[in-house]
Amino acid sequence: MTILGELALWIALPIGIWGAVAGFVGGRKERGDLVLSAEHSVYAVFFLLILASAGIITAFLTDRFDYWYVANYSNRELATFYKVSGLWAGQRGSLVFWALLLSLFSAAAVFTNRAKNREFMAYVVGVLLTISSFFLVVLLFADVNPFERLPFAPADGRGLNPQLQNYWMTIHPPTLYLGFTAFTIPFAFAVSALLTGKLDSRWIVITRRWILLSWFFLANGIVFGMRWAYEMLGWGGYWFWDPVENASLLPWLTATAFLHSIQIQENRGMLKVWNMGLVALTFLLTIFATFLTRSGLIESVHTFAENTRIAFIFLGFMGTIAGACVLLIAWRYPQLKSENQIQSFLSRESAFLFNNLILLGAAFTIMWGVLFPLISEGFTGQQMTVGPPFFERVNLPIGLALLALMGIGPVIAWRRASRRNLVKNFAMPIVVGVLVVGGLYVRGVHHGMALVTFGLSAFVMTIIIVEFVKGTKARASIEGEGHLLAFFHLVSRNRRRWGGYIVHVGVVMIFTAFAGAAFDREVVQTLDPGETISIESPFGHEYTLTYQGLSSPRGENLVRQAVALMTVEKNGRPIGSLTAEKRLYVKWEAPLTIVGIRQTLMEDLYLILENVNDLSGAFENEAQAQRATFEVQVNVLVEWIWYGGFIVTLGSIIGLWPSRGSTTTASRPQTGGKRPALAARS
Amino acid sequence: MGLIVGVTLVSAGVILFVMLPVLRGDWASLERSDDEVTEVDARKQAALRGLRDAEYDYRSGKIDQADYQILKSDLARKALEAMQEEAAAGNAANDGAPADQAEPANGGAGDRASENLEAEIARVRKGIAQGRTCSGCGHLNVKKSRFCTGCGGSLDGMATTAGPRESV
Repeated sequence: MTILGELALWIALPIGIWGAVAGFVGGRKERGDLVLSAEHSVYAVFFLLILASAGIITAFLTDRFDYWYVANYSNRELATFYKVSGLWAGQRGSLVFWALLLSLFSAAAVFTNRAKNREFMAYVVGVLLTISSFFLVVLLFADVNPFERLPFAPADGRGLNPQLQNYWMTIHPPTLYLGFTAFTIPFAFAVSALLTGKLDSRWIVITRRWILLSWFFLANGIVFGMRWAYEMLGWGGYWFWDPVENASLLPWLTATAFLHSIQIQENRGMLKVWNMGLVALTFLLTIFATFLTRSGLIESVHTFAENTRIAFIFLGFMGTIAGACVLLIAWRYPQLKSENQIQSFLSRESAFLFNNLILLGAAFTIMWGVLFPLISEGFTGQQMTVGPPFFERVNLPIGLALLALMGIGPVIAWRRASRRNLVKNFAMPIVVGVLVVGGLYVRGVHHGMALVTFGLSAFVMTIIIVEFVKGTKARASIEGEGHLLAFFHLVSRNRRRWGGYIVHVGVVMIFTAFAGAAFDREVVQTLDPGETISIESPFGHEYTLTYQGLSSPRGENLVRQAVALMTVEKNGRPIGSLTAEKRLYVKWEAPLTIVGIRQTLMEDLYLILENVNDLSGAFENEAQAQRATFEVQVNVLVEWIWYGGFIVTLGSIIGLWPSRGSTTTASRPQTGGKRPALAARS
Repeated sequence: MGLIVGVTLVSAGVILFVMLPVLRGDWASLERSDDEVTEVDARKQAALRGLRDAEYDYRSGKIDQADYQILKSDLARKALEAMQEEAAAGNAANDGAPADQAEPANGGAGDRASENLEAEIARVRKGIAQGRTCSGCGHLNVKKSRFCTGCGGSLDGMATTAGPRESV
């Protein structure tokens, strides 16, 4: 199976190249046979990449340490669970996984469009297979072949990085990769629209669900990554402005901008060039994120890179794509002119445009922060670090402006909103926001930025609730329906709009949680068994943790683990216990920290075993080796991030859900016909 | 030996599958089918969606009556233009095809969506025509209201005075 997988990669490359050429030539020469062959190539590449991926997984499951990739990312004691996820544990397998997911979505796009949107499909297939072929060329010719053999077979492998030995490993990377690769489909349709000159809004209508699907996976992937970091990495937080975290945020930001700006094109025939630019930029950023994670160009906790040469190959590819897109847009510029103009500053178009500018501003400042260390190294020879203070300082006002626009956008009408109506509509939400700020201030919350965030969150939530109430009332009155049925029909008849509002609710909750971080508390203390550590919650109560000592059980694939047990009291009343660990894995020298978390809706009690004075002694359960240093944190409102993420998911699913008669539904395959007579085609 | 056979079979099968359309002369369609959304359809649907949203925006007090009238006539004109283009295209198609083979221009999925929107807009209009929306302040009143709960004005006789009741 493994050798078959290796050969499948070699067969996939010429098939991919043939398919790409056949797609472009078939589209240009109107040769339906070539286009059909190209579409068959998409299915063939998908099949071959399944074989290649199965080959890699088989090599992991059968401990084939004669393969460099398996020897470096697995060992005999590694749980089967993680051996399967070895496919995306390192640079080499990840590139195969990326190509596999792209081929999966490509096959899905070709299959679902086999009987419709045919005028776009030749170039769509050409673009998709060009990108697949690029990844196959990298895999086979850039020293990153996952099937590379070692001259000998080691008795055991190096093992999987302990930080990756967590169940989130099987969820977070695939979800993000699904988001990255799904965006290739809208990009391919956009390029096809440029090449065919069919530049009305149909390419957007066709790809709307793909865009939302990609956004959905990206959003979930980012939230899953935050949860993993919070649970596992032991750094006492969920976001570190790590280069790869930032890289995953970039396409999400531009995709969010795109989701809003396409509505302007659909409704008002405006921003056509902007949308073409945004779809290309978002696609390039998905490649950039992949490249950053797997190129080794910038060091980060995620960068499991072993070969920096492919960094330059990726840069060349991205430059070529960017250049081609600029040329195509310039070529079609006369057809991309707006059909309308923004009539008033007070209009939804205007609010969406501001939203776009702010999201792009955030994306560019984050990208600057990511690339600055490289740029500074290029000029000065010294790499300067851009840390969280920069990102937080820059993104705080940007985030607040976005939050405000989330409230303003839904209330403003398309084209032109009157000041009188705006005042009427904003009066109550502003009053609620001010009351929340005042109430919190009176209760002792004096952090300026947090108060602004809480106030804006209350303002936005009020607007969304009022929107739902007014919409439901209007519907109930018009249709003579009961309010519950009217609410259901309101959402189900315009899922994109109301699903979007639900997404906004989730985002507001996440922003509120971010503001909660301003009130986090932490205490660091070294303890012997029996000693206590106390921390006061910003909500007024006090936690007391009593250190009970260390134990050293033995787990799967572990050399040793030292588990510290703490009993917890809240205002002197016992409420349970927490454990925190240091783990030492087979073949990995650095111990891993596992945190203990007690989660509640308003705050988390978070325990980190920072240091064990005599770790070797602790692993041997020695009585005198029990002294340890702990960090205890009270993290405020963190749970709201996860609930907010859930609501974002719910809103996205509502937006994604197909509605009756809303899509093109041609069902007869437009294939299988015979070559027309030449005279008929000329 | 088994491996060689396996690899040969996979390679041959894949190559045959990919090249079959070229060898047999099978063609994929490269044109839009009749039952898909056209550019005109897309414009019509956008205008109808705009009308629906404008009705809701007006009734929920986001836009003034004067703005609503301007907006509505602009969108109605666009929807009408699209419908006329569609009808003209349908007539042209009918002229060029035998009567029993000619398909109506509005038979596709896009038109089903348009019909849904049109039906919804008709319901909204009906609500306005029944006098529940105050012509004075735009407030939406419950069924059978005689006075506006927004401004206190009389709702009687609205059928002849309120602006939004004109047909779209």
